[in-house]
Amino acid sequence: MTGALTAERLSAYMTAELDADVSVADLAPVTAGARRINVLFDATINGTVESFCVTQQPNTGEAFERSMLSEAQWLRNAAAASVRVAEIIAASEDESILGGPFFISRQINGATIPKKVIELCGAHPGLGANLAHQIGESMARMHDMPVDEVPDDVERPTGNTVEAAIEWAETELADLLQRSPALELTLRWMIRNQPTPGAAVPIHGDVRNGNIIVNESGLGAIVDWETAHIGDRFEDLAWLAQRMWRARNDQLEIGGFANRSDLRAGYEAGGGEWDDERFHWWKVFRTLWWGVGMARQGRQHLDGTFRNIIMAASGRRVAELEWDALCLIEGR
Amino acid sequence: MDVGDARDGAPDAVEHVDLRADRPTAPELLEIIAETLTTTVLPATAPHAQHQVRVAANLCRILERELLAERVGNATVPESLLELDDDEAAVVFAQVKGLVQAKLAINKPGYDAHDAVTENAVVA
Repeated sequence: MTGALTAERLSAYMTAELDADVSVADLAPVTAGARRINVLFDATINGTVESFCVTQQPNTGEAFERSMLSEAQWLRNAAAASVRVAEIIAASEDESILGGPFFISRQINGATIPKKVIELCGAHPGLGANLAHQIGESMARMHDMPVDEVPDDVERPTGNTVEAAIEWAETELADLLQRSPALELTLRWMIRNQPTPGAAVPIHGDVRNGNIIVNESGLGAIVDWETAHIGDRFEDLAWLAQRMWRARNDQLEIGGFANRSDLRAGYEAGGGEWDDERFHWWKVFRTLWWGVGMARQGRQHLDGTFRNIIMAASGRRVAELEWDALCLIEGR
Repeated sequence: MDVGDARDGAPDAVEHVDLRADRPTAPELLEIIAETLTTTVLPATAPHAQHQVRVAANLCRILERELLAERVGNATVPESLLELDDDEAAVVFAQVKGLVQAKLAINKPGYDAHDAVTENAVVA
């Protein structure tokens, strides 16, 4: 944690920002994303205790793809569209305040660790189905948000979403440190089974078991909007169905806690249109995409870009994604 | 005298000693390294570094299996798989599937217990 992120500084900032008498108690850092800091804290605001979370990018001089202000804007837009997210209280890029860009959101109670989410759903009959339904509903609303309200620093892709995905895969597979025949066969299948491309819409990009806060009443919030962008809605939906997020509970396709029909029902209830063929194609693409991602991490370790044992181990996980991809295209 | 000279002057018999047979063998050492990391180091490690210790132990087990595994034969996969016709692709598919399974046996044993058939049943 950067030294500047202290209870005193937070108290002073929130007192000025909220124009209220604010006193922040102990800070509790939580391990979350690899490169960002999440700290939970209670603040007494005009005598009432409320719980918040401050999310901060460390002031490392490193270039981040997404600014904190842009991410806060995504969250505000999502809240306005009735997508379940944590309410943003304040956001600033002024490094003199807490030592780096940050935003403060209202804390939402619940589980985020995939295994815990699956356990919770297992202990409460109907919770998993309800959760997937609520996620589907939120995603339909998200995908319906106006593109022109998306923050300016987000790329506006032009052209066909399916062709763009294939082009990406061709480039990346040619550039792997080690050839992947399994992913090449996957790409071959993708080229020969192209679905109707979808309109480019605002998507979260990383909705999965692990980026949702879940409690007994279902979905608390969809978190981590770091990778939100404009793309195909099924790119977003199919990511939830990856085997990687099921924590070994493979009999439930959606995050190990629900069936696809539950997600679909919620998506349709939220006004979204469903297409199984497109869903499957994007599920195949996202599997290849993550296989490439794992291979890239292994390479970043080897070439020194990001030397780290987790990154090294990722290189040995490529085979899992290769297997998943082969399972999805076998006999199709 | 440097090390190279020492080797040159060594008696013939030494050249036939398999250094990899020295006990404990590499797999045996990796096994105890993994065990130590898990049982001794992990409980004494600060929370933020525990995941790295678990990963390190897992990598030792991967290496142990890799050292004990049969070498996979030189399966020749065609240069470009994108241009294959369906019949050719089916042949290559079976070959590649076997290759991936051999890798999984080292990197993630049991992962292939969930396969195309069980995944299709889940999706249906």
